[in-house]
Amino acid sequence: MVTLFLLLPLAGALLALFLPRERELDARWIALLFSGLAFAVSIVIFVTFDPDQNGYQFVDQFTWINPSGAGFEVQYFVGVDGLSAPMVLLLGLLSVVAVLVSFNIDERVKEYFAYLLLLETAVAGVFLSLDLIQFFLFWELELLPMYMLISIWGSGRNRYSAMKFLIYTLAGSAFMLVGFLVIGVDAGTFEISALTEMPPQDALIPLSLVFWAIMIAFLVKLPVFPVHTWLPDAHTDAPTAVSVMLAGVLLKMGGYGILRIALPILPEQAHDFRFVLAAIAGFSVLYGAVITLQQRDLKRLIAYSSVSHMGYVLLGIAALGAVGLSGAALQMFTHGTITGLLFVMVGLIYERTHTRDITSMSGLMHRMPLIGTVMLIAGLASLGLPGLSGFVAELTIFLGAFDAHPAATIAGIFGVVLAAGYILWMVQRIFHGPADEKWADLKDANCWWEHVAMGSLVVVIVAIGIFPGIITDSIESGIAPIAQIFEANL
Amino acid sequence: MTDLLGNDLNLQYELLGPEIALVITAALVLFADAFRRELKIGQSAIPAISILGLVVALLLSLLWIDENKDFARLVTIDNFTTFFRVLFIAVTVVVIIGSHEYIERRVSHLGEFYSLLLLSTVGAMLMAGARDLLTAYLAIEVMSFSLYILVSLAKSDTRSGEASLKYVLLGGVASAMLLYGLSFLYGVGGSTQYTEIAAALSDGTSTLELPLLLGLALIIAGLGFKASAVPFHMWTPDAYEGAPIPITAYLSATSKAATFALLLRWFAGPLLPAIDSWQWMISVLAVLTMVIGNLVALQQSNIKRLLAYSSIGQVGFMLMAIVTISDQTGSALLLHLSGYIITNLAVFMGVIAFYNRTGREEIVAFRGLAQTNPYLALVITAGLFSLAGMPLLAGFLTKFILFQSVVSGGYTWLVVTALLASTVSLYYYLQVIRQMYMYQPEGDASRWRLSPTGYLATGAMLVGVVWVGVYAAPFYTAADRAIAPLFT
Amino acid sequence: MIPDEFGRVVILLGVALAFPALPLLVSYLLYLFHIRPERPDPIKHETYECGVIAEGGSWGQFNARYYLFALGFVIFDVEVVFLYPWAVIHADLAATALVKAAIFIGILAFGLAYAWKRGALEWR
Repeated sequence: MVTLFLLLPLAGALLALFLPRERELDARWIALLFSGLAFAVSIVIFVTFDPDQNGYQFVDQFTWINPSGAGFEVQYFVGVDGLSAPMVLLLGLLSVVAVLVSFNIDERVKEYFAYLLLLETAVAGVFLSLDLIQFFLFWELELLPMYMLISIWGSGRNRYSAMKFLIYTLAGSAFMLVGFLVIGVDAGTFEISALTEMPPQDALIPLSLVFWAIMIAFLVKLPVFPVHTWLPDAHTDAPTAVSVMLAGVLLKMGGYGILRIALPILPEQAHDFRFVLAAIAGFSVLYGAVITLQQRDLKRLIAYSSVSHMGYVLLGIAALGAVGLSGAALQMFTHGTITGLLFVMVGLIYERTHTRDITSMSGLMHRMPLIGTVMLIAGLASLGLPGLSGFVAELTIFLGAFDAHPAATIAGIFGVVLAAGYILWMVQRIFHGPADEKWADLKDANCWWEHVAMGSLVVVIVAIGIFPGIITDSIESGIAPIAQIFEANL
Repeated sequence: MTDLLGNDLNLQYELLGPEIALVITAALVLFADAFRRELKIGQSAIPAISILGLVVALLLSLLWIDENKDFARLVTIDNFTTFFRVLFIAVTVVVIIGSHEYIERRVSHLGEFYSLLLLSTVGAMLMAGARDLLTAYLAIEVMSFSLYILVSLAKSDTRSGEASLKYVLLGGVASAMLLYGLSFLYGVGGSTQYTEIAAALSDGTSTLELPLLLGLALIIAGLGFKASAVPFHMWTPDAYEGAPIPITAYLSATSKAATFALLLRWFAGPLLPAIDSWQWMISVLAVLTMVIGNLVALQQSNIKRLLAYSSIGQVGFMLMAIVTISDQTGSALLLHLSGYIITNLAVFMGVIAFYNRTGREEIVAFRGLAQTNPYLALVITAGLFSLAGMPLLAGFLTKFILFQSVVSGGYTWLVVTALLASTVSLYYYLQVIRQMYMYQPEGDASRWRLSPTGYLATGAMLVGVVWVGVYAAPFYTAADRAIAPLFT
Repeated sequence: MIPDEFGRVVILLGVALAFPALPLLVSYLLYLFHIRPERPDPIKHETYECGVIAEGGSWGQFNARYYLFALGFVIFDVEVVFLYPWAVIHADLAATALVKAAIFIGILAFGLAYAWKRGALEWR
């Protein structure tokens, strides 16, 4: 089942590549079909996933590399637990959305959709891998389609941004591989669950160094201050669908990696450095929010707000308790849907106005009431309005983190105030105010694919805001074993 | 039969079957080419004879799997030798198949070209098999002399002669240093036989610290030159650029692998007892090589020079395995060598096919190749990504196992450096890939095809790159069995 | 402690250095004590003091064909070096020795034939 989810987009990518030239536009339908099928599989996985059962479900496993003399083996080992099930669902959903918002791509269509589907496979691999080396492999594989997508179909300084994205991630993952190797050589296995049961006690280099070697890759991906600078550039210059994927699922790989690998395998080190993590988190929240206030470019604004919002994830993680960790996992899911929706909206607006400069737009609500309304909903969710999904996640994080890190939590709460400032300012400038003559002939969202993309995300945001239990049941079952490690031993 | 010291000598000539077969083939090729008009044979008969001889040699070398014999106390025939014999023969076959068009059009002295190629393969095979310092030295020279000439054979390219001259002069200096170093080693060990040197060094009776150190430094400098390790790499970019492309490919594959075969034989054998004296030298060399090779590659605008520096960087990674030498790292090194050779040949076969069509070798000339020939662009991209160590390709898997073994050898800092250097390397490989995928072709944008042999060579290498990357089990089994005789 | 073999090498080195140095030293001493006269003239200062005055600079270039002939000559040189000891004792050797010598001569003959065909023996 899980392997099917992994392979469906890949199959779609190969099929799209081999389309004859004159039927190039059919690649869109192939991409929609295969990402839709993958989404259906992800729904089945999520619904049939049993939160009351311990351990991984839907496991597929076989030995992949096993050199006789080397004393280690690498496996193909995939499965789902309460932590990855929502992520898989999120990925399935956002991939369909990303395909839908790219329906008007007209340049090198086959390749575009092939890379988009390959991206889905790579990210799915990261969320599903239960072996460190396999995890690393998919982590690297994700770079290739991202690099190509940004640098071929992007705009502005796209080649520069793509390269910057690549270098940041690669430098991080180089350290990560060293960390994995040291752990693996020491323990003789790369299996995450086995390493969780017997955390490494002593290795070739101090374990605190190993911890940071692994964390650096995740922190770059999250991203937090001061390794966040690739994010605004990549977002600004990427095509809409790639922004959606980047903000929606790629950033989550960082938080997911911390929850899946760094905390369970090196709990003592995480405990030792929890104040450092909280400080980074608090500072990132505030810094991201303050910088966001100064942005005039719509995409940069949302990109910097992501830095701020992903800071909450790290804050929840730094609390190292069941509530904080659940909040962090939930925040990852909700931020994925909310920011995904925001980028969809920015894409739609940009397509019509051909500008992202907030100060040059005014009174758009008269011209496109639907886009305006949805943007408002997404914005309100992003600033944490009760009844929408963002509120639940942020509240849970603050509840979980307050005891452990009061100062950082207060900084975080102040970040919410700033978020209200920049979101409302942005909505007010763009959609309200006097109707500008030059936007007189703009049309509202009128294609079915735009409606479906917006509608599905709005439904999810509202649904989780009202019934958080849909997601939290699963997340809590996934977080419980991690939280237990910290409650039992430290 | 006995030698002068009264040792019994095993003179089974069939042990040297592959070498003898190749030498005879080389002579036949020369003869056939010189008397082509009298014998009424076409030009394409020459590569055909060479391939036939190589196949015979391959079959003859497979006879000795799992044997462990020596010929006249000069050459060992064990799995290690067999591994490298097969590897070198395969490389030569691929080079000939992939580049015979290029050779017919752009190489002067066809017969000499093929026959020297075969002779240098013989030299490489003997380097892997030698168990005596002088035999090893002669094997090095057989390979090197053939290569000196081969580098100069590009038709109507003045860079070719210049490259050859640089290579000869610097190569001569390096050989002299190596030989001088070997004489010190003989002085200290009292024999030219590997086994007796090892015994002399390990029983602790030798008190000649200084001569040993001097000898080691000279040997490492000489072999460092052959392997193009920084700071002995200066000849590499020029020789790679000036040589005919098939020879560039051959230099980066066989000549490098043969040097590492020798390094493994020496540093796991006679020199192992002196590990404290040379370990730091090699680790310094490894760091310098991977850092400088990869950094200088960033500025290259010619694909051959770029690949030259990239291959220097790769040598740095391989040297790490010598630093932490053991059966585990040795086997990882053999695996990495095979993966690296397959990958490198994939790139070079692609570049040769491209050069046949366009006659250009600047990186900007690759603009828009993804549109004019997507297949070739795919081959080159797969090769470059594999060199950079991207997952699911040969380069990732072999590098991973190599790095893993070095970490278990206790040299984590070396691996950290290697991974950072490896990150840098992706940047310049991407420069080439960008040209192919992100720019429009200049001038003629129509699609074109490769020749059948071009498809055969590139296709085989592409399959190899993916095969090693996904299912490497047969390769590391072979590597394990090949390294075993060195550590028993 | 230097082993015996290296001691001999040092002795050899000393003798080798003394051999050319000694006559020069003796000659200089003779001059110092006015036993021999000093009468320099240009012919005595020639590089080769053999009576014939050298012509041209020492950096003059030779025709490359000389080297080709020299290489061809080496073939026969090597042949003699190896075949002479073989010929001296060949009566005591087994019959295979004859075959081996024939292979050796065959290889050399092949080299000669190749050089001939390629025109290395013609002075063009």
